Formats: sequence, structure tokens, C-alpha cells
Amino acid sequence: MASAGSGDEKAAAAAMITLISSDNEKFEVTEATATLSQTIRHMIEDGCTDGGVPLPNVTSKILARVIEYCKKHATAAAGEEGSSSSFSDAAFLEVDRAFLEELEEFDDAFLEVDRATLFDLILAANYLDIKGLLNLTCQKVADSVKGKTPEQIREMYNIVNDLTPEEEAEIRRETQWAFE
Amino acid sequence: MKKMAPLKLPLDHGEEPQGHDDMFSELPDHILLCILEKFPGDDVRSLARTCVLSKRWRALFPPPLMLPELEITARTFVPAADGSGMVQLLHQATESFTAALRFFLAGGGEHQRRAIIETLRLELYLIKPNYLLDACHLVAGAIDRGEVRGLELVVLTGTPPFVWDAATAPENVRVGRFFAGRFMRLLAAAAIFASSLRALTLENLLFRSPSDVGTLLGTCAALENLTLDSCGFADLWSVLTIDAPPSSRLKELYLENLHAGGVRLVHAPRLEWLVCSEWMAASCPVTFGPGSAPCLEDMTLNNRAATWQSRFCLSELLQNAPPLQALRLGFTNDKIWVQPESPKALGPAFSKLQMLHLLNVFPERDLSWTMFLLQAAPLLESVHIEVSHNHACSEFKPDYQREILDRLKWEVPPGFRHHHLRELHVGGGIDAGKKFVGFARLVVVRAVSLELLVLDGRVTCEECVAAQLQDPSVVLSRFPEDEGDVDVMVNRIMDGISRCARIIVYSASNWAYEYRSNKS
Repeated sequence: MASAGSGDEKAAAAAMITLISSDNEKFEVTEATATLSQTIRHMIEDGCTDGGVPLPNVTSKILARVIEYCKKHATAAAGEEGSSSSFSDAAFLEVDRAFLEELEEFDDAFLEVDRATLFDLILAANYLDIKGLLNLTCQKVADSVKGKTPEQIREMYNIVNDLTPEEEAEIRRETQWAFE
Repeated sequence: MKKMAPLKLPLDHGEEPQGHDDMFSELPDHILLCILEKFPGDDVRSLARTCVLSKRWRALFPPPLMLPELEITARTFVPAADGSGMVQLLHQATESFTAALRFFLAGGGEHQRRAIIETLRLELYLIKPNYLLDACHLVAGAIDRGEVRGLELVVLTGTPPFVWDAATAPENVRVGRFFAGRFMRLLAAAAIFASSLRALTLENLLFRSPSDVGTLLGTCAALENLTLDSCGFADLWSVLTIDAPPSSRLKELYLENLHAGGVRLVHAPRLEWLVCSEWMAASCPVTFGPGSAPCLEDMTLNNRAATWQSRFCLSELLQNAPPLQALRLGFTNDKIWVQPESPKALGPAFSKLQMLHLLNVFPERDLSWTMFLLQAAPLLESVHIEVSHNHACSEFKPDYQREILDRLKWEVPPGFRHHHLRELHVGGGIDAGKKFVGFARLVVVRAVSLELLVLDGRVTCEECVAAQLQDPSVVLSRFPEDEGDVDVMVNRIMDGISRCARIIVYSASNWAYEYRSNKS
């Protein structure tokens, strides 16, 4: 499943893109992988990718992770386009389901990082404009905050409470229903 | 290559962030909003609690979020019982509900970007009408500012679901009428709110007169989806009349546990989908006026018929209805409330039928009576039959005694062939007995275009599986468990026939077996 048709691979091999991290490390990736980033897609469309694409906001460590994500999801996108079935077919649905489960497992494992890395991934996803990755990483932060008290959240993310006691009391009065 | 110094080096070690910098400080506001947007739409408390974190988070509220849906549910604001009466608890829930709504919809945020809620789903108790009216006005304002696109409302009474017996009936009628009156007054007082509703669910309301439903359909002009659960009239003989204005957008109508003598569709110009589940009509529960529902495509009729309810002909029900595309019939107990009838009588209503589902069919009944439905529907493509499970986990055993008295007879004429049917799925509490094999064979022989036969004997009830783990003598299924037995069954069904291209069998022990005919 992972490496679909060999024809696809050949076509993709023809168009490789070099990405250059802030610490000057070079990464060769297929165009299909790179264009998951809207930022890079626009650069390719504008024809300014010769000699590599410098990404001064992304370190090699983070870029390697981002590329890992893009590779997996680019394959998934290709797989979905390639497989079409004319009518409902139990066996086909089974394969489809297994495939989506595998992708979900990948995403879960991908998010097993410390908080600093998670935030770096968010910034990279934002800068590179990779919607899927931004949604995935923001979801992870949202999940980590859900059901926590404000004190717990402040502690988790080093948020300094700069509200005056009066301000805080006022907000808590307004949102009393959220604390009951 | 110009190398820009990263603001910070990646942290390679340690689970926790180093230093004491606010980790969010590097993220721009739009990412904070993106994170808030990922909160589940039904957890408004977690969302609101973030505004007490710091000045920066506070400034985000009311948050200009783009939310696919926001759900504010009075039920989640009912305080834990503390000895106060239920009414007192519901009062508090309504107050919190209104405060939460005000928090999100009060308007006047300082952001250039406005909040856009694609679907605002509200669930309220018909308690404290003045608060409810406030809530309705808040929502009307947000709709007016373009901040809420779709509005869905569930109206609860806070009373337990009605059980209709002689002892509770008078009290139920009193309560049902009281809340129905209150709902109708709210509707009249909050006309803008009402006219924006896309979906409305009501429960336990007994309307004073059939004209109340007409008023409801007239006031809620944008309504696409209406669910009435345990609603109806104090007078059980009243008929629920659906007479919507010509501009009505009503597409889906769900009538569950209807407390009325029946349903009469007079005018529902866009209605596509009708569900009638559990009715109290003595016989045919729904009738159509001429041209009343020209767009109707899909209908579900589901009833656990009581002894006093008599069987009726689908042709009677579907007289004046347009030809359907899909039909679902559910039974639950051993009483089959539909009367088999000649294909000629059913023909007009079934002339476009493509999909037929039969749900909760009594397990020990011969299924060949269902053939009258196939005979009447020449364009039928798929049939799903779900036989009810004889649950090993449940003490409750349905009353099967009437089966003997109540047998259905249906003879399929020898010359009958179905030329369109492509798929037959039979699942649930099936066995490999003579009756079942006989039925499967009957369909395979007569449906000459059949491509796929699925026999699904999986036991999906987890409690049943757990019951068997406790007591291995418990019989979960009489469907074949292994390949040998599946082979025997398939050979008996397919003996001498090579027509059906594929057969998939899910055995009771969850194995899938696939057979393909040798026909090239």
C-alpha cells in the first residue's frame, strides 16, 4: 500500500525538490511530498525552487519531522485517488478502513513529542502552510488543555497570570457557569 | 546561503519545557484561535475557562472563532442533586444556559474578525420563560449580525419519557399540555428566533389542538428537520396534520412514539424523508393527501405492534404518495404489522423502489413472506434484512407464542423472476435451518441478476459475548461457526446455481468467507 504504482514513483522521481533548513541541512523530497505545503507549492508555481528552497524559520530537526508527516500523507492522498470502486463492496471497505486506521496510528505516534517540539511543529506548519499538520498539532494542544483548571493550564505552559485579582474575579463572575 | 539564527534552538532533551517563558508567547493570535477551534463544540466550559488564563487570552473573548458547530446544552448545567427539588435544579440549569449563551453571543468583540458559527445547537428546558426569551433574543441578534448561520434547537421538558398506561395518563396529559402551551407562547414571543430554526426537536408535548402544529410549521419558516418524540394530543383520536406553507423547506420529519390517532400529510412540498416509529394508531398510521408530498423519497416505518393493532396494507398507506426510492420496515416483536398483498396493488408506490430494509424481523419466522415486496418492486437493487437477535445477555425474552396463531402465508408464483436485484444482505439472529436456507435459495433462484449475497451471522452484542465467557454453555447463535459448516450451508443454498457472482459469509465466530462462482 505504501508505495503504490511504480509508474507514479517514476513520474515523481523526475520532480525532486531540495529543502534547506535554517541550519543549512539539505533534504531531497518529491514534489508530491513538498506540495502538501501551500507555501512551497506557490514557490514551485512561481518557478523559484532552483537551487533549493531555503526555510530560514525551520530547523533541520523539525524539518525532518515535517517531511516525515508530508511523505506519509502524500502517499495516503495518492492511494485514495488511485482506488475507486464502482459499487459498495464489503472487502473494499475493509481495506479502506484498515488504511485509514494505519494513518491514524501514524498521526498518534507522530504526536508523541515533548511540548517544545509540538510548538515548533505548530510554528513550522503555520509558516509552511500545511493545513493537515496545523490542525493535527493544534488539536493535540486543545486536547491537552481540555478539562483542566486554569491553574493547571498555566503551569503546563508557563503562562503568567497578569490579570489583577479584580479582573480575574470579574471574569470568573461572568463565567461562573463554566466553573461549576 | 544566508543563515538566519533561529529564535531558539530545538530542545532535544527533557519532557518539560526549559526556562520560564510562556510557551504560547511565540504563537500568533490566529494560532491560539485555531487551538480554541479544536475544542469539541459541545465542551463550552473548557473553552470559556481559557479566558481566565491571562490578559492575552481574555482579550480573545468573545472569541472570533470559525466553529463548524457550537453546542450549548442546558442538560450539562444541571447541578448535582443536593436535596433541592428537580424544578430548582432546572432553574439553575436554565440560568447557566443563558449566561453561557450570552458569553459567546453577546457581540461587541474588539476583533476585526467576527465569530462565525456554522451550526449553533441549543438544548433548553422549558423552564423560566423570561430567561428563555432572553436567550432567544441573544441568538436572534447574532443571526442578524451574520454570526450564526444555522440554528438547531432541542426542547426538553425535564419530565421523564411518558409511559402511557391508565395510572399515569391523566398526569402525563396535564404535564404535556402545560409544556405544549408554554412552548407555543415562546414561539409566538420569539418569532425571529423561531423563523431561523433549521432543526427542531420536541419531546413530551401534547398540543391543545391540531392547529398548533400548523402554527409551528408556519412560524418556523426555515425548518428543514422536525422531530416530535412522544408528542401528540391529549385526545388520542386526533390526527396529526402536516399542512406546511408552500414555501416550507421541511425535508425530514421524524415522528416517534406519536400520541395521536395517525398522521395525515396534507402539504409538505419539500419533504424527502419520513420516519414514523412506534405509533398508537389502531391500523394504518400515515395517510397522504393527493400531491401532498411530491418529493418524498425515503420512508421508515417501525413499530412494536400491540395485540390490538391490526395489520394493514402498504398500498393503503402509500395511496397518493409518490413512488419511493427507499423503504425501511421495522418490527421488533413477532407481530408483522404489514399485510402481504398483490404486486398489482403495491405496484404504483413501488415502481421506483431501489432499496428495501427490513429491521428486527422475528427470528423464527419464515422470511418468504417478504417476497411480496420484491414482486411489487421491479427496479429494486438491494435488500437488507436484519433478523432480531435472541439476546443471551438479556433476561427479557420476547413473547413468541402468538407466532403460531399469527403465521403469514405467501406463495410466490412459479414464473416470477426479479431482473434488477443485485445485492441481498441478511444478518442478525439468523441460523442455517431449513426455513432460512429455503428463503435464501428462493431469492437466489428468482433474482436472476443477483451479484452479491451477504449472510452475516456475526454476534456483535458485547454483553452477549461476555455472558458466554462467563457461562460457556450459553448459545449465542445457531449460525455456522467454522468453514466446514459454512460450506455446507452455502452448498445447500447454491445447489445447482452458478448465477450469483459473489457470496460473503460472516460466521458466528466473526470469520469472513468469500465464494465466487466459477462462471467466467
